[in-house]
Amino acid sequence: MKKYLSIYKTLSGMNFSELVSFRANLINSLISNLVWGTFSILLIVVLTSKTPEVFGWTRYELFLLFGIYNIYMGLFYVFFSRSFERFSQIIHLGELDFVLVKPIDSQFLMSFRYVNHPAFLRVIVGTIFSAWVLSQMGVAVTAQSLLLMVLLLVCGIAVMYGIWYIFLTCLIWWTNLTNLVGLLYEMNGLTRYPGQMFQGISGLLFYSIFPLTLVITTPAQTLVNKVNYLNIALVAFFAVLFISISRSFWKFALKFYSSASS
Amino acid sequence: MKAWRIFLLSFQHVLENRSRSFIWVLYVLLPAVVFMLFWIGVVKSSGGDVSGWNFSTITSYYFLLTVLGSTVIAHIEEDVAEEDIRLGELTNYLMKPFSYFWTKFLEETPWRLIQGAFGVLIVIAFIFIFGNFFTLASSPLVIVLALLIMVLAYMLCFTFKMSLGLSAFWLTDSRGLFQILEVLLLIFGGFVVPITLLPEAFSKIAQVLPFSYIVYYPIVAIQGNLSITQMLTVIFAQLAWIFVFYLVYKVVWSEGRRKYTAMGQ
Amino acid sequence: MKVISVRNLKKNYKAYQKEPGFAGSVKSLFSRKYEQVAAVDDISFEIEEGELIGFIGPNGAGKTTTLKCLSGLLYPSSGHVDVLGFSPWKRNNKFLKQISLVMGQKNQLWWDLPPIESFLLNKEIYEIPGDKFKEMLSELSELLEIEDILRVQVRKLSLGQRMKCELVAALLHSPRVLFLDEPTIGLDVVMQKKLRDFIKEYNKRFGSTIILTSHYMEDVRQLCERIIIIDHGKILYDGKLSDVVRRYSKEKLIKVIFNQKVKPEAIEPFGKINEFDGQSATIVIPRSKAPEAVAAILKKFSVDDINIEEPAIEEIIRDVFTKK
Repeated sequence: MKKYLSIYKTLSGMNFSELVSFRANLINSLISNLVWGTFSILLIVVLTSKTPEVFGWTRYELFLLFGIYNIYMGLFYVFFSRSFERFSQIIHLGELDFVLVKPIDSQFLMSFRYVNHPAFLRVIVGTIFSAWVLSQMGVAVTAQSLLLMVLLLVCGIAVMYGIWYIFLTCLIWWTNLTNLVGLLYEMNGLTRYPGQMFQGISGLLFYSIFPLTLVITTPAQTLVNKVNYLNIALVAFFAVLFISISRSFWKFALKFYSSASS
Repeated sequence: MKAWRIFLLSFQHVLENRSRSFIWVLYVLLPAVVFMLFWIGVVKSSGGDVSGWNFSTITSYYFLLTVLGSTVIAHIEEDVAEEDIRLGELTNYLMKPFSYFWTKFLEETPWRLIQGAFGVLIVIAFIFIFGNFFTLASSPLVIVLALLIMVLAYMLCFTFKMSLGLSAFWLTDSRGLFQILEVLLLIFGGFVVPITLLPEAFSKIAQVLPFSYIVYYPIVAIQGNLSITQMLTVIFAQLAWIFVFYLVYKVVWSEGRRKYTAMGQ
Repeated sequence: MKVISVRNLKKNYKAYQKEPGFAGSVKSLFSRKYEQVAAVDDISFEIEEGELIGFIGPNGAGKTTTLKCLSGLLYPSSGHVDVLGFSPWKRNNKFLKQISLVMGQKNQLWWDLPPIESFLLNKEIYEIPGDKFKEMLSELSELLEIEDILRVQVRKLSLGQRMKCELVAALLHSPRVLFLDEPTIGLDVVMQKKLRDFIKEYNKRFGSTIILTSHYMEDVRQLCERIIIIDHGKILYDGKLSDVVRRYSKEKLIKVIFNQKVKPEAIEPFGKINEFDGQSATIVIPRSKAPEAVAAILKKFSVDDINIEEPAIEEIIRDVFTKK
């Protein structure tokens, strides 16, 4: 709805004003994002220095996975990381009261209230790295694959968003689990590895994280022109599924919100 | 005894926050398992051996990493920088007749012990589920030395992080610094891969940094893959680094403390 | 017309018991005792449009819980709540646009930005038309004297200035019902008076229904004609403030300032001495006997000043609690 777009525009503007009002904070945020963006790339370089191929993926294909992961995570960070990091604090300190008393969807406000502009750095790092990898692989990107990429990007981030929101909703009952977010970031990290990696040890493990295994591998396959339409459909399906569950679960959980006493 | 009282109070606090402690352990376990799965794949496709690491040693490396990651890595730098220095909690510590360093030590240690306990439980569970492929030291002397290395690793990490936390005396926002150092610890400490599996250049850098003595060497010692001489060398290096960081701490502390009290907080 | 209608409202909480000390912590690992606490225990009342009502009670009495049930933040355990024709806990947007909640010492304003930015955000959230927004903003800023701090970062403002801005943020959308939870807490005396005057003026000018909780008697005394006294989740009294005084207070206080030093023994025959300070005294006298006591004192002593007062409302209300 137009109302929500204009609210988001205002929120984004306010977040940006806050960001630039503190120089030390801004510099640290930029350093942070650069450091982790670089680490993310270094990670795959370090991991694969002794391996030309593993799980049916070549070294450069693995590089691509990590590059795309950076783009996805960068965007996830921009839109959701700060709001999700403050989620437990908002509930624990009773600030959720102010959210609930406003005539706007509470899930919207809890998800989009804070914007992390500096994280765009990660998107840039990821894009540059991915472009470099694709050129090293000699792959030509078609308009069709780019279009599919955009669709997958939206759906993939929606999958991660939905899963996160479902876990975070549990904080209404367990308000002291402030470090849950760290664990969820690690969960996101699972998406950059080939799904087959998890099959080895336990089928149960694989199926429990199955949606996550598709989020990054599917766009990677798409870009190198190994398009798998079933996987694309599955990602879209999971996106819708997890967002619906997150909404119902949140509405249900709010009945149990006891809000801090005065 | 007052020290015991502080320790017990902190322990109580940890018990009350046991679900948080559990999550902290999962937080270390998850990436360790992921890297382990990765390397198992690599080992399989390399015919069972990669630079001296096989299926059994690599698996046990990452499981031990979970235990050590929860036990040995102190997270005290944020507490020192944010709560104590920036929010002024330091004043409470300064007014007490105990050393700040040792008070924080007694506060931090219960967390490490509880999380270490969780870590050990999880690893035992995994051993039962996945069978007996664990490499562990067997000779009592080796075990004793390995435990000593672990304790020194904790002391080293703690001293290092305390000095790091004190940077808040001069920096308005230490986050950037903390994160750079965390990444260095991850790579050169052996969290991602054992040091010997790093690319050439990185491996060389890891030798001169203290991080490998916090994580990598304790793990390898417990696995029983170090000779007695090597273990003694590690212990010597750990003591040297602890000494260095303690000196740094002392200097930074007296300078910073003067600055802190001068600001009338 | 009736704006708020509450019937047999109950709200229960689970409270966990933990024994103190280390042994207690270990024990709580294995078994946890908990009991159901009724924060609000079967209360009923009705409020008409435009009323300014005070909820009084000690800490933990259930005032804030009631307010939160009325504003839709809490889901009632049982009973019936109707505000402006809506069930608050359904959190219908139409309902939320007509109410507002202000909590003392808790801000919803963005800390590092000037208040005007938070106001503009509320404009979007409440869908306030541009001209109406400008009008309300200018009127409220004038009433609360915040025109020069509109563009100063909230973190640089004093507590009093922040509360004023919080009030403006809460009123820009002209709510029909305003919930104020301890609005003057932590403020200095001057600021408390300013806020009270504002609330009174706002109620008069805009006719909105205002429900106030406070444990400062002065707030209630200045603002509320009608009060509801709550303790342990139950309503002890619902009616005019002046009636409480008349009904429950059996005594009056006579405050005398003498011309010269007097001995306490000389005053004793008149009544119980509450305070004595060599040259001034406060004497407690049964209500009906007050006029003759005053006359007698004036006859016996040379007096600089003499006053007949009600005992502090706090005392009266405390009596209401203890008598139950």
